[in-house]
Amino acid sequence: MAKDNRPPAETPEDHILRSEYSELMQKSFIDYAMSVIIARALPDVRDGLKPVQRRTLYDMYELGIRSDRPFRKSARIVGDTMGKFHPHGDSSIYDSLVVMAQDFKKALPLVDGHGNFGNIEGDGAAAMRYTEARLAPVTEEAFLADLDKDVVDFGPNFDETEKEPNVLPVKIPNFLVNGSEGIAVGMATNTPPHNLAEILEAEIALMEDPELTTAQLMKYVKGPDFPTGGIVINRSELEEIYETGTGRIRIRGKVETEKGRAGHTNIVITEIPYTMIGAGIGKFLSDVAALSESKVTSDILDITNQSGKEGIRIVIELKRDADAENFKNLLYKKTRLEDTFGVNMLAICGGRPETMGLRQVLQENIDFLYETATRKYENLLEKEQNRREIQEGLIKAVNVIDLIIEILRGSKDRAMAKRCLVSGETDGIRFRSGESRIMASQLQFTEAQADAILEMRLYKLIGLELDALIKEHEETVANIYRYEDILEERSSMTAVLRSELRALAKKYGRPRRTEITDAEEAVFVVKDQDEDREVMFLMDRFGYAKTMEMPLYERNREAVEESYKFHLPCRSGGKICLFTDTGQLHTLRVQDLPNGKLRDKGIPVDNISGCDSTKEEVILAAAQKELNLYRVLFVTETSLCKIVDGGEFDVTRKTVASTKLGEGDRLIAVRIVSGQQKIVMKSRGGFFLKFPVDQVPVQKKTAAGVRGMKLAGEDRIEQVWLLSDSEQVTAQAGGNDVELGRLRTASRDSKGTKRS
Amino acid sequence: MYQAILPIRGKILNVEKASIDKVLANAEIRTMINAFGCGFSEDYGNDFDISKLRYNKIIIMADADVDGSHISNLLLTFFYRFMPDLISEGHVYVAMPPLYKVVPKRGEGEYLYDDAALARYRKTHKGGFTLQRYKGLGEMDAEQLWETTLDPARRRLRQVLIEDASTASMITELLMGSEVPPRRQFIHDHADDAQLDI
Repeated sequence: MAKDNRPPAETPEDHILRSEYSELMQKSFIDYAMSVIIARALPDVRDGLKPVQRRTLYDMYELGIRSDRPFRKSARIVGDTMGKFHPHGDSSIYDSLVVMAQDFKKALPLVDGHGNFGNIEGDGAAAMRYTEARLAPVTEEAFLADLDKDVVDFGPNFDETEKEPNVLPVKIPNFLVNGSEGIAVGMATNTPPHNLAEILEAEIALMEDPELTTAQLMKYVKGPDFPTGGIVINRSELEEIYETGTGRIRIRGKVETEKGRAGHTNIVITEIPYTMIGAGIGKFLSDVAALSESKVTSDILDITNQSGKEGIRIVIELKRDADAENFKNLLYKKTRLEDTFGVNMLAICGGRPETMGLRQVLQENIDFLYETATRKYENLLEKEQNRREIQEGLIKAVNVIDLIIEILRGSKDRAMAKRCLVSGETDGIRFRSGESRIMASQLQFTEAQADAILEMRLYKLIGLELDALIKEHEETVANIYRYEDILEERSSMTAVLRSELRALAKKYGRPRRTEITDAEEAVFVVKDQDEDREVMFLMDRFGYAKTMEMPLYERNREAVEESYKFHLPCRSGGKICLFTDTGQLHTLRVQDLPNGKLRDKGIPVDNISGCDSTKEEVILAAAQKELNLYRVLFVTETSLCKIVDGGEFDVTRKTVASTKLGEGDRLIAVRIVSGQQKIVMKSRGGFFLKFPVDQVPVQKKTAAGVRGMKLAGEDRIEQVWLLSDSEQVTAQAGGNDVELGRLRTASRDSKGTKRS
Repeated sequence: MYQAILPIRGKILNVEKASIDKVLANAEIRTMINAFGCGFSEDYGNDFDISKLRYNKIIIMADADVDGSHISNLLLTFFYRFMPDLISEGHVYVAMPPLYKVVPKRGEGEYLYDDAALARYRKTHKGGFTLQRYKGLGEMDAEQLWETTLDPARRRLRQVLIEDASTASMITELLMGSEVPPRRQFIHDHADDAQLDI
């Protein structure tokens, strides 16, 4: 890197244009965005192909790599396509070639691949120097068949050395059949694949009755048809999706139950949702394993992926007493065995990106079909008309062959003979008789006829050849009649197109693979687990909670107790009660908590209970079952106290009031009372009062309580201790240590003593 | 006259969407900051000092195709957000490599810099000529690159200026920011202005 040490010399030689930043940004951006949208990422609604796919197929067509010829190396196709039509990266061309050959990705593969073209589990294809490819029969028949009949416009390639079709004359609505997938700028396309036969029937129906509604079209198109099979579970929403071209299709894999060894049940996944293609299967396996590890379920004995070239087979072996139905729902709920396919049927239509519903896509395809058919039959008609002209010329010539021979022999050159044939000019031609000259002067062949006569071979004069010629002529006339009819009568063209489409449906259609239904939301019921075991509930001061196995807790006891504000043993199938300073009781299920190691963070309790840590603070956490055995002491800031039977908190609701609080009051302490203890209350003003706990009345949880310490004026309770006789606790008051055990035991509802 | 070339591979990070840590961790961007020598201004750091700029002209030289346009966009966004004075003081330029080279049967070959020039050439030149379309700078050999794009006497530059600062910020956010709907609307409204590269 050189540094310019001299003062920067302004170079007047530079040709400098000036541009405003915003304008330059806008200009380059719109060029880029529209190029990506129109010419890279989105398919054309007419042939359903992106430019790279269209160019690859056209190149294969040009190279003659037909379905009945030997396979050719993919690298040749890629190189040829890149050099002639697609001056971009070779990997993008090869990737598109590969996908067009994958029968698990495309409902109708357009390329016949030979070699390793990747698999449904996401292993990529072999390098392009290994694999070979050729066109699939359907591609030749339905995509490329009429390319030589000038039915679509061609444009120059990037360096104007080749011509390429702007669109392929595709006869089927490929955009729907094979779907679409692409991310452009500011927009993306995603269309599910469909069943060829169904789509063609719908197209025919719409062709015959252009007024059909989406609902009526859906008599033919039941829904998407994924090559991976699976189940669509929101049939009732499909009409809306097909009407607007956007929405969310919910799909599930297909699950069967089989009898396993020794009375076990096996859950077998035989079809995966389309969205799981690729790395999704590996992810699914590890997700299922994680369900077992995190104790969400304990039903799994073993999981094996037995998928092979015969298809998908993922086997989950369940424990003997497991509920298979419930387990299936767990898979739907917690893994991507149930997934959504976000539909956005976006394609290029008339040079612009447009999101289209089913009806519009079909209509665009029908219009395109008529357009290409019109061009095709106009060209055929022209050819047949030319042929008829020649044939008629030749037939007429055979009838007067002697005269023609006389003209030819008498002419000095070809031009002279031709002039005579076309316009009857006989000047300069020597005839054997005047009669011949008169007959010759009446000749009125056309230019083309005259040329054909001059080039006619003598064997055409043989009688049988003449018969053949006459027969050919009859055929030509019949064809002309037919083509004119097709071009003039729309119903005739419709009939032709209909039979073409039916033939394609019959030849290439196949039964639907995806089941369409309306299914209930998967509900995973958590049953009482047999091995309801003791675990440690841990919650830190930020409200993150988790459980920990007891042995692990025992080993790390000190560290755990130091870093977690609440730590208590509980049953893994039980509930935890959280008492907050606003007088609320929130319950949460232990099984909703992640089971973690020491360093795992846990999850916020707000997520799994009614607790809102921005508004309230948890002051006691207790296991619900344990509470039944004890009583609970409540003390509020205004010194109201009561004792409640723990059984009252055995509630099923997520949140209930644990006590009645006055306006502006809050709970200072909620404590579990065990046996003969003494309460010590300390006020902000430095007063201490100690009295036996049995002086506090037992009340209902809805009661407000009775006064504990008499407070002077605005004084409030600050701290509460619950002491057994032997406990030595020291409190701080105004800089002095106060030994709580040494306080005089007084009675409830007195003022206490000041210690600061 | 000294020139230095700093090669940047492919598309750089979109600084409008990325967090500052990610931006500063990006190798290409660090290289640029170091090469320019003038620091950058954005939240912390903020040591931009235009007097330390080591080059009078910073010239963006990207392929003359739409991906090149996009690369220019990304680089301009980076300059605008991190070194706005670089643009407002007129140090940023975009090189304009030729789009075509025409070589007539007789006579000298000629470089054409835009489609209008090609159209003019087609009109004025009777007789055949071969046309080469430059899709990328990689199609030129060193000598060609010098005479078309690097030689101060012959090259063409586009100087990037900011006169309307408020629009500049708005446009940058609209085009490069993370809000998609306004961008889609912009594309929709301006679709007809685009020059497509098919």
